[in-house]
Amino acid sequence: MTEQQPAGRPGARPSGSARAALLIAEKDLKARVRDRSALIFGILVPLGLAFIFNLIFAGVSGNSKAISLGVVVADHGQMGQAFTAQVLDPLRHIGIISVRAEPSVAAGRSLAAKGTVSAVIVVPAGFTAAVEAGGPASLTVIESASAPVTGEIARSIAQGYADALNRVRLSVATVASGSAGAGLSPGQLRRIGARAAAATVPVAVSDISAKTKQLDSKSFFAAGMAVFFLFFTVQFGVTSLLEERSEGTLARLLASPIRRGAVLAGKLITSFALGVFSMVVLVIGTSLLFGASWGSPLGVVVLIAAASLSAVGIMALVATFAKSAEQAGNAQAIVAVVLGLLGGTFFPVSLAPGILGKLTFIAPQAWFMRGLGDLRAGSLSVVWTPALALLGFAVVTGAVAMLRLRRLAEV
Amino acid sequence: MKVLVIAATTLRRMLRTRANIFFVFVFPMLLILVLGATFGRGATPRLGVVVSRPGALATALVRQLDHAPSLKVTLVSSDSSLLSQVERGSLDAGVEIPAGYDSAIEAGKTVTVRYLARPGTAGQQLGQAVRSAVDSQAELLAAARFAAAERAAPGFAAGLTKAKNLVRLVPVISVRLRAAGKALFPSSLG
Repeated sequence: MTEQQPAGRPGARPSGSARAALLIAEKDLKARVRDRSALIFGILVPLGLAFIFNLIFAGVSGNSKAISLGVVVADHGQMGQAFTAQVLDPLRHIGIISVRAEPSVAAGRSLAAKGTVSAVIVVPAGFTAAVEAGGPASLTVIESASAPVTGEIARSIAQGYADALNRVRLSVATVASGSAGAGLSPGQLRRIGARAAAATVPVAVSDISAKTKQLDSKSFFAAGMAVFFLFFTVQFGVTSLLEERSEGTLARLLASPIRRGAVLAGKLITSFALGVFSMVVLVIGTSLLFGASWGSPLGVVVLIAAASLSAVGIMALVATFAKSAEQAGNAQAIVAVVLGLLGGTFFPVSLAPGILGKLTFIAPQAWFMRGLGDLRAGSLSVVWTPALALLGFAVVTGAVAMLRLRRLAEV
Repeated sequence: MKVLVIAATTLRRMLRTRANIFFVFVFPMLLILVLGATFGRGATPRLGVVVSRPGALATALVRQLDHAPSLKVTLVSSDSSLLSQVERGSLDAGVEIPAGYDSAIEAGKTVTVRYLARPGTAGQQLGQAVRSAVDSQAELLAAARFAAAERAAPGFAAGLTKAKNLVRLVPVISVRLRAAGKALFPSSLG
């Protein structure tokens, strides 16, 4: 503890308090760099975990691939052709579905059984004739048992076509039924059918593309682990106050002409600097190592600074309730783990329905994650709400912690 | 005997630290609780629906969407709230039914229902299910309008009643499902 000598220079006036605080911070930071604990908890562990989580879950949370569908048109009438031209071709153009024509139902079924295609839509032989005769008719969808969800999509495609035919059929039936429709000739019915098919569709669906404010899996795990361990990294500064007290060096510090506030400020600066430094290294590291995209650098810096302040405030407050550094470490670990879990650093808790999806925002980590997500879609201005929320945590917990720490810094 | 004493002492010392009690007993439960609440609802995609002015026809459309097996409908109060929930991922997609839905349909116009999704194939695939549900509704509405236009019914409402009565009687063009191959997981696993 020889580093504290400069702070003890005679005549350290209040204006020198800031300098004293910085000197104390510098001494603590050097000690942390030397014992490597900050390096391990602040950088190596989060980096490693983000890497592992990303390996495990990258495939799970990614976007689903294009569906591959088989189609068998055994019908030689106009309905079979219309199905391909009006329904499948437009889907093919959008690129969400790849369609392969199969010569027979057996061939299609074997592809579905192997899982080569998610489903096969069959327009059976005689479909056109059955539809025109006005009797029941059906399309068949053979779902691959290994892809039940995409099979559902194939069913809705087939159903959509069947619905269009049913619409005309029902329209004709409502006109032809009852006394008005009695004795209509087949020719009249066909003309009514043509008019029904040409009628304005009552409801259309238009696509609006929304932006995504979700982080991709790489960035999610990088950000999640970084902010989770931020709450461990900042412990070092505040807890060292307790260490100094048990080692007896706090008494010597206080006996020197340094204001008590400067000692506290020095410890808080240490925490903040460690937090910001580890976060910045993690942002750069995860971007370079596994291509995490954090968004606008200025926005990220604002969020990191605000998150670090809130972490310092909360961890300092927790430490004030402990009698020893070990006790403080235990309590801080519990708080950091609970807040990290609730704040959605391991999995996106804000997506949970009901109360939990709202409860997540009592954790500053949730605001940090939301800020990064919003930053992905919006301009820089979107970070102010999460940043202010984070600062709110910092101010409230920091103020209470300062009041309690002053008492703690009495030997 | 010595072994037991050592074990008991160690256990007592472990339990004396509150942090150990937390990490051994409380934390696993908490993890299960949060994981369950976040992912426990299964994989049914959630569709947010905004009904600007709920009329009989708009309500019927919502009911139709809710009946689709691959959708779970949640009512949302405003378009902006729907947009932000879809963007943030708490809803998989959204549908906005415009204010004049009922009156425009009765007036013979085409009403455009807006479908909102994040970019990506998942949103487009969900859009198929939404379109299918909308088509089923459109079938009845088209028949009702057609009947009124062809003077087979005195008005839209009468036409709709007629169409609803007939829809069960008219032979339908249906979609039959067949399965091929073996499922990766037994269905009992859910």
